[in-house]
Amino acid sequence: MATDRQSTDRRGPDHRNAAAPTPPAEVALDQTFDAESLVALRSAVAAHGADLGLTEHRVGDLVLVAHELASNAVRHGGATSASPGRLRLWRDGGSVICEVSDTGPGLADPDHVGIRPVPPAASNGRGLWIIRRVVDLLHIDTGPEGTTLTTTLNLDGGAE
Amino acid sequence: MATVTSVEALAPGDHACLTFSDPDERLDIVAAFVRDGLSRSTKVMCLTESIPQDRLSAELVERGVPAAEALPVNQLSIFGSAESWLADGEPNAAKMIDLLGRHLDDANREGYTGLRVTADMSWVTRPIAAADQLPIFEAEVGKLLGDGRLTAICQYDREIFDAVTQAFAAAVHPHAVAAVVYYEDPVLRICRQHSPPGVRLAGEIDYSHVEELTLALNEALRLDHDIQVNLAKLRFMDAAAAAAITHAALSLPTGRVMSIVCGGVVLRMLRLVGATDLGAVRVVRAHGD
Repeated sequence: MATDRQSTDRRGPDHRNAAAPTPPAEVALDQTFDAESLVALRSAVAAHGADLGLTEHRVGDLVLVAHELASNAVRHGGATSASPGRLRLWRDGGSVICEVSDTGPGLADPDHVGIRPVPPAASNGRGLWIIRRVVDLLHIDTGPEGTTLTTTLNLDGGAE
Repeated sequence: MATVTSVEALAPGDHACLTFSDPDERLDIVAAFVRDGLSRSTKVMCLTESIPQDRLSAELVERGVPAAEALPVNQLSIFGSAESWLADGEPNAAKMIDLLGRHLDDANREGYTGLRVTADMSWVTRPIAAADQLPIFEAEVGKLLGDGRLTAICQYDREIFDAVTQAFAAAVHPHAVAAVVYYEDPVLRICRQHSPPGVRLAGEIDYSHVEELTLALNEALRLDHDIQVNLAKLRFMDAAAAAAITHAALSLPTGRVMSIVCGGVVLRMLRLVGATDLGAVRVVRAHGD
């Protein structure tokens, strides 16, 4: 879509304009969610993350990332039981990809959201800052029709 | 019928039952009972059954009770069932009452203000135990309590006592001690921790229960100078919940401390939000981490 804005990077602009990983025909997990099903979503992500080859530590990271993405979709992206968010999880070579989408109004400034540390006293807005620190790659595709965030966790990553 | 009382509010002469299903809650309340007894110059006697004696003393120390100082001078004594209920091979409530009476006299003679006793009642369910001794014991303890020198907590494990016995326990004890539970559902439990004072969380917490968490933290900060936020049994915490803990720590004036017991993904989240860098915060690594 021409009006869509895309942003791909971790902490800097090195991966700008790279295409987001696209899901294969068959993914390990494809689950819709709303505010009431985040607990079940975390549990499903944890089980599949381990199956996909992540270490225990990295499974913890994956659950953390999946929850922050999904809770953002619920709190800011308008994901409800009538119009749920969607999470897909799959393996791509040496990486596990987690993609979360909603049909909300979109992010105002995808290039800059979450690139600066959030001061301890701030009331909210930590989600994307944390996600950027934990994942190896983040791709944001956002527009008035909704937002899709795609994160890549390398199997050998997670040194931080 | 028992009225629910906080363990800190028990007064000399009180007879309370502690009916528990969470082993941490039980140890927390027992630790607070022992701690308060030692600091009020009473003798303290722990009768233990399901927890071995040396482990109980280690658990008390871990919860800030000066057991290592009190045990050698006999202000604190810890007995297993073999030395108390089952000393003669079979449980005998009358002998147990004699033992209590002797300790009460000792406490008097040695200048203590009284005797505190906490008893794990699970000996009743042993195969050789006679359940008929339980009502006799509870009734006789009631008499000993009359002159206000003895304070007692009898511990009943919900997992092993049937409903009839639990109802009996509730009926014969004028007081029931329980942890203050701020929030509880199948996924999350937030309760007050008595020793060390603070808040204990178990399960998983996310943004949907930040309000309850904040309430619990604020009460802990109001009641005590330094607090412990015990997250050892917390499996998941999101950024919003970690931010609530961060805000509580930021509200502490210089000199007050928030120690946080945690490990694994919970510690990782606290680091990611910067809580671990705050001056008031001390991280205590949870066991098994």
